[in-house]
Amino acid sequence: MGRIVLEHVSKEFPGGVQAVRDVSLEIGDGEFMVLVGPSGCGKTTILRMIAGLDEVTDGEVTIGDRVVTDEKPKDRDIAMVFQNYALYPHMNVEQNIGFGMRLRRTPKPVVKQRVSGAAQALALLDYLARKPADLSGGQRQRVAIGRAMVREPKAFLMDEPLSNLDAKLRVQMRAELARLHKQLGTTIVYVTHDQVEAMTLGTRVAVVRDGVLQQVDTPQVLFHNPVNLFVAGFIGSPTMNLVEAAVTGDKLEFGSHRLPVPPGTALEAYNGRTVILGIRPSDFEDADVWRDERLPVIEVTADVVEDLGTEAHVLFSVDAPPVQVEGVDEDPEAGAPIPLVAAEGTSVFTAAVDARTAARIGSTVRLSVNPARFHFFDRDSGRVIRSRPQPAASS
Amino acid sequence: MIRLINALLAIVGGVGAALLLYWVLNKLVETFPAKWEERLKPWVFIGPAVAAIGLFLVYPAIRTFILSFANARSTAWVGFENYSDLLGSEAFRQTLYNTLLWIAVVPAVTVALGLGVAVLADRLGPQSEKLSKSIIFLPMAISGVGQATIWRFIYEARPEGEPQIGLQNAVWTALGFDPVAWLQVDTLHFNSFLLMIILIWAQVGFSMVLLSAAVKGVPVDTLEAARIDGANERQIFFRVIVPQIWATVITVFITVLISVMKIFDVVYVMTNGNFNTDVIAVNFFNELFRNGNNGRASAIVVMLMIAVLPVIIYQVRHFRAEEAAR
Repeated sequence: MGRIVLEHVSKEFPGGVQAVRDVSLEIGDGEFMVLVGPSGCGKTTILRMIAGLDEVTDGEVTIGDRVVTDEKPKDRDIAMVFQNYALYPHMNVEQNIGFGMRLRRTPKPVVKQRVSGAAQALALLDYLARKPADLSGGQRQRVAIGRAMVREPKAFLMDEPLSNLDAKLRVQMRAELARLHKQLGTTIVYVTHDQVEAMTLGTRVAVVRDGVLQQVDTPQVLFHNPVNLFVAGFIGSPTMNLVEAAVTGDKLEFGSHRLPVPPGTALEAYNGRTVILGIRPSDFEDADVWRDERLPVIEVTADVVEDLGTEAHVLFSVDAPPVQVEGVDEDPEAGAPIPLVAAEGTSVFTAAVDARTAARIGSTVRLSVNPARFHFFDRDSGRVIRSRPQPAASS
Repeated sequence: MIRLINALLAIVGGVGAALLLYWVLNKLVETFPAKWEERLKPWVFIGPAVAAIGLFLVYPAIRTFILSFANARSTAWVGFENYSDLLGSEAFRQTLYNTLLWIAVVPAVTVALGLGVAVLADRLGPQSEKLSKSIIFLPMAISGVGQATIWRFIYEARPEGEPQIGLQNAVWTALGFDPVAWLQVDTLHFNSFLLMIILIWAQVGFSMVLLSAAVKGVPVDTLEAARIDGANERQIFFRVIVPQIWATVITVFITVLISVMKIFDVVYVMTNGNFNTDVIAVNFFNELFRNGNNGRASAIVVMLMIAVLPVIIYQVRHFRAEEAAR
């Protein structure tokens, strides 16, 4: 059983850096759990604590049905794939993959058979005699995965395994990993800062920020129902548009725009105050291309139009204070870049619209938007304001 | 004071003269047609160096080789007599044997200790690592004669009854034994080993510095991968760390090996080759300057040169292979 349970796990490094705070997480057998967050958020530390490479300061780690908090990595029956592959440079591919088994004094024929099995699955049969230095990045990555595979461990731990590959190879390896997971059915805990990888690979995704778990759920739930501003800003590409909006009766006001408060929203308590309004770029549409009479329309001036072929991103300014979500913009790989520096008190919005849009730089664009898909967050706590009032929002 | 000024003048004058030489030669070449200028210019700059090495190294080496076939006063040819005399003499065979003993023991021990210190120091905190490595490196800064002098005091023996100022005898007599003239004990070449300790003590610092840099260059994640693969600390050391720094191990081994083959100062200062501790270089020195036997002395260094040559060739090849692998 490859179930992994973290109970109130914390990690404090010497010098007082609190890398992980009170993380409780249950990873089911056979699940593909992705830990995602900006660099330095503690996700790798969580993984290393599961592996036993970092000691747990507080809390308990269970793998399978054994508490392994104080056990050495080799006794935890896990395999790990490192960001820099961590292949042994002095061994060839065959020796690299078989090293663990040779240490365990597995009979030679068994080693040979399992190594060639893994090599076959990973298309490495022709490279068994090569040293890592003579392999391409993708091949090294596959060797690292092969080394993990032959162990037949309870769980694979992967630390940003694709981050050193070029963009094309990354997409390809991503698909291969997904296939491998399906084929082996082994639990995988996967760390990445790339929310696209998280969304595409994860059975469930755990969003981590400053050592604290923000939300653990399926990619769809994270995308459609983020529990707080951080998750809202981190998940999704291009990032969600966030702006301060004033609630007056059944109207929302931000900048010069006025939109109706969607029915069923628990915004009554916020009447006369400001909330944070979040609109996914994909929830905008060019009203001149796709017109839904029921949806309200706002008129904006396009500052930048990025035509991606499949869709176009229209960037426009909204005359309302921007919302800074600490940590989100630091992520180097976070989806679409934000090329405009917003002037004080001005927010930059992105609308992902049909590529047939007539929008050009400087032109006026009419965008329809669906208020039912709006996200509202409390300005002070950053927590989502749920449609039906709940006693306490979970963090 | 006068001496100091003289020294300064010599430095300034020497460097100045060299600069002047280059400048004049350069000007001279620049008067040639452009095509010739380009061809000659490199020679202007490496020429003096090549000439100096030729004059002070290559010529003497050839001359030594020739003289090794002449008699003690270099007045008549004797053919291979010097060589056959040497190899036939029991004393010289003992000298060779001693040198081989040095070769067998010192480089290996130096590398092993240096590696041990490098790995252990790596686990200390940054401050204590720096401190301990500095202390271990310190003997490197002392000249060979100085090192030997320090150790003379450690091995010093005074007649029984007198206070023992030598560390080893002080401890030895304190334990209730009679004082021993350690450097004269040649049972199982005990005194030779005492001398080897000095060179090891002096060279471990060098070995440690290079190996420590190599150990730090081993990617931490390969160690972690091995830990997860199930390796214990010993297996990680021998099967993951050592193979990755093997090139440096060889380099250090060969460098120490060459200095061991040429070992002179320690033995000369401590025993002058007496009490069956003689080694090739000391033997050579005594043949030349004490016995005034040019022929024999030349034959000895020629043999030493022939012995060192393959090691140096291997070192150069190893270095090239290393560079190519990069």
